[in-house]
Amino acid sequence: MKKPGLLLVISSVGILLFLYLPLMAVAFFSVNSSKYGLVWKEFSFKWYVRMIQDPYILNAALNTLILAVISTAVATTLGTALAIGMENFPWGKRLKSFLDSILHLPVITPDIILAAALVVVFMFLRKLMSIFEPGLLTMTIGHITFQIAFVALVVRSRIASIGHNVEAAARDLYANNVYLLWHVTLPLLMPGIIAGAMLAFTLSLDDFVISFFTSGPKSVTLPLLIYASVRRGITPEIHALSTVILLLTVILVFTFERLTRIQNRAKNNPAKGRK
Amino acid sequence: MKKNKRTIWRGELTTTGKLARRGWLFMSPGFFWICFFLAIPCLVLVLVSFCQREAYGGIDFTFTGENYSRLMGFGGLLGWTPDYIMILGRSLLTAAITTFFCVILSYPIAFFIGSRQGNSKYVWLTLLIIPFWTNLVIRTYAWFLVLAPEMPPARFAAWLGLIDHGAALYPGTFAVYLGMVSTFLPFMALPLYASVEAMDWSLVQAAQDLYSRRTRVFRCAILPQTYPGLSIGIVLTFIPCMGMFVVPDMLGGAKYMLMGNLIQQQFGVSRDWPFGAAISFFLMTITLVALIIIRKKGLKHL
Amino acid sequence: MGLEVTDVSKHYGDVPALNRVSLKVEKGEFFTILGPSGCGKTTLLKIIAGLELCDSGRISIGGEIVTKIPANKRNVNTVFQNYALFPHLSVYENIAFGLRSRKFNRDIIEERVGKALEMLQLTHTSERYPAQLSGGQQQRVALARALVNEPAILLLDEPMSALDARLRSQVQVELRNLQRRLGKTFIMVTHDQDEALTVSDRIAVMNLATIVQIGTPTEIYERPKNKFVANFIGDANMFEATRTGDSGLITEYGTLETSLPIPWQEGAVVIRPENIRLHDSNPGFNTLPLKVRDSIYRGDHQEIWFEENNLKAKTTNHTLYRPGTEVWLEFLKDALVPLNEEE
Repeated sequence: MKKPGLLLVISSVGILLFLYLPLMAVAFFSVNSSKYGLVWKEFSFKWYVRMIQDPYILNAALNTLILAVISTAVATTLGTALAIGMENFPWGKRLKSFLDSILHLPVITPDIILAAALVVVFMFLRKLMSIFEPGLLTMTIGHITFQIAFVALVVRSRIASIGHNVEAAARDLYANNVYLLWHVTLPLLMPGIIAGAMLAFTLSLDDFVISFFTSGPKSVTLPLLIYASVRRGITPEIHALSTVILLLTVILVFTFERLTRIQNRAKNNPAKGRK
Repeated sequence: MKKNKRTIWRGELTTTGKLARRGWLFMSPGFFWICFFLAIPCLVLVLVSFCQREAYGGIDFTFTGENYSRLMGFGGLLGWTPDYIMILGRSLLTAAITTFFCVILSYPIAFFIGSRQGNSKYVWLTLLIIPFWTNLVIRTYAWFLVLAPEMPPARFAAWLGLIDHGAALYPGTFAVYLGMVSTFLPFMALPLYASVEAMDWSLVQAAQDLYSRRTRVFRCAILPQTYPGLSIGIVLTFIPCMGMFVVPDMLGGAKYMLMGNLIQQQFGVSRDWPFGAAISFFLMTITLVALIIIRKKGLKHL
Repeated sequence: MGLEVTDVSKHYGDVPALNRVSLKVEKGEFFTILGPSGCGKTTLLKIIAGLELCDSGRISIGGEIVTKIPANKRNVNTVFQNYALFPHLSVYENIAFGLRSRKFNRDIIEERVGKALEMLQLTHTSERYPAQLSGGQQQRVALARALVNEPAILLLDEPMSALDARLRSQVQVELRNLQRRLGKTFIMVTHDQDEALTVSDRIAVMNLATIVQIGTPTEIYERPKNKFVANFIGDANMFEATRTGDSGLITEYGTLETSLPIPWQEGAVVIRPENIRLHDSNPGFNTLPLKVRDSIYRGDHQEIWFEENNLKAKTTNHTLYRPGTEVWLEFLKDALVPLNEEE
């Protein structure tokens, strides 16, 4: 392709600036020592210090982490199993397309509808068991519901890129079911599983709507805390907190990119089946 | 699959029945999870939308179409009101305008990243992906800072006489659109970029030989090749836009209601779940219709 | 002690992949299944490997019936098309896979893998991963990985298809030598007739889910049984004939004589282009004068087409045959093959 014109370069940089300007403003004011107003005073990390001393913020961070780790662990396990189950067995065409649409359901459903649906289920479940009071459990269940689908989709595309020839070769070399799963299928799927898990983790950190609908008074997470503080009036600690979350996101994105690039390289390897 | 037949599947001697059992063993936890917490609840939601609200926010399971007639403006105390219909209309309009701006802004960036080589391409691509993954609440409130009265944009607007001196550029329609477009831009730009990347440039060269005018080349040889990405981008932008409530809630102020806010209100403060379910069902229907339309259109271009 | 396939059939839905196929492979033989794509040869190989089940029929290896024994319990190993090496394992681990999965003791694994590495000149690559190897090396790893298990039969599914043409002929010879050295039964599937002729002791030609002829490369080439075999392997001139007397054939080129038995009253005969000799004057027997229509100089030989029914000849004569020249054609009596097929 030929070189981009100057106009294209300028407009692209402008558009990216449009995306980054607000975020840069947040980072900028997080290191400004002035408490009120948006006037530059002097460089200072004091809001970061305040932030890590704030029990509410620490508690919310802990909740966010617990929520993300548990939901990711469960969703990665179930999603991987779902992908293997869907791809590695001789299902009929009709069942396959039905499973496919179920799998895509959490992806296309607007999150507010997923949230509303969860509110209704938990209402019914609460009548049976009191553990379904709004709180970390209900939030975790909510997060897992959309994470499973994303994990399964990522792992499935990995299965497709490996092909089935390698499994046939393992059988030919005397592998039984368990040996095949542990020594061939899972190691080969690992990049896909890790990518899926990271995607699920990021989705959990990112989520606001599902958490907002399913959380209880004791299960405030960081996005909920930021949202609430916007209502009450933003403090510079929130800028500091947001900047930290932002940096975390950047790290996650870079790692994820690296992983997918490794995956793409694996696609060109000779073991790819022709099936 | 019907009969329990002996078969060798991937080198293992087994029966179709055994295979199906094992396959389901793998699939069932995830499959039933999605069914139990999403598919069935969506159906229940439809059911609830035909119920009545009990005092204290419970659900009275007597069948009624009242919620839908209320959504259409009937059944209020003062006869027919266009309030809800206006919210639905505004949601559609906001989604359409946001999608439009996202398309306009996504083309340059998609082509720009497509024209980069090697590592530089990945850097620019990552720059586009980072906002995609940044928390929505943070991205939205960040606009507060940019649009604050002390910042240049608000001062400039005040100097032009568009707003009062010392006023902020939020809340309002302008702020909502800024928030919406910046939120959904990556959703449009990324699939579009994927299409640009997969483009057959020899076609473009052929077109350059045939037509001398650059606009013609763009319209005849470049644009049609990006339609697959464009249709995916429209799905990813338009549908979540319809159900969005964070951005209008934070940047739009109390007056700026969209369907998402209305649903949230029913499940939140109003505790009118049947009515909330009815709006959700309406949103689901629009989502499905939009998906079907775009799929058909998208396929035509492929 | 070889392989015996008896009456094996296999259908995919309504499409027959194999239709009552039978064959016998002797121990230590290099046997090739040759046919166009979609003829069922790969299915047959998979059934022998135990990676597919046949609908009916019987497979026995070394006298033992293995029809319903799956791949991981059969003493047969396969070199897969595109090799299917494990990309996450090193060359060493790839080769050791079959021994490890059967829980062999460590010393045995080390010894046998070491020997296999040495035999296929892979010792210096043992720590590398498949993606870091050349095509030829990958193929040798696939061979080593299968052979290290000391299978009764080694199956090879289009083992050359991933190699470039230049390398192919060299590897064919190496493969042939390896098989001779090991004295093992090799069964190879290919669609490449040159490859089949080069390496095989015997060839089974397949078409439309059935075996149409089994024989040594010479038999297959010089005595094709039917039109398909004659056409699929090498060049062929084919024409209709009516029998007269014991060995006479009335053809469009006049009455010709063959030294081969004629199994019908009316049928087809075939003659390879190199078995039509060209003379400047009539040599007297089984001959016919024709005008040259076209000739192509190929360095070591010439190809000449004649002005009648696309008759083609190959000659190493030094004369240049220009279009329009009249030449005497001699149909070699031993090479005029009556096809024993009624189509």
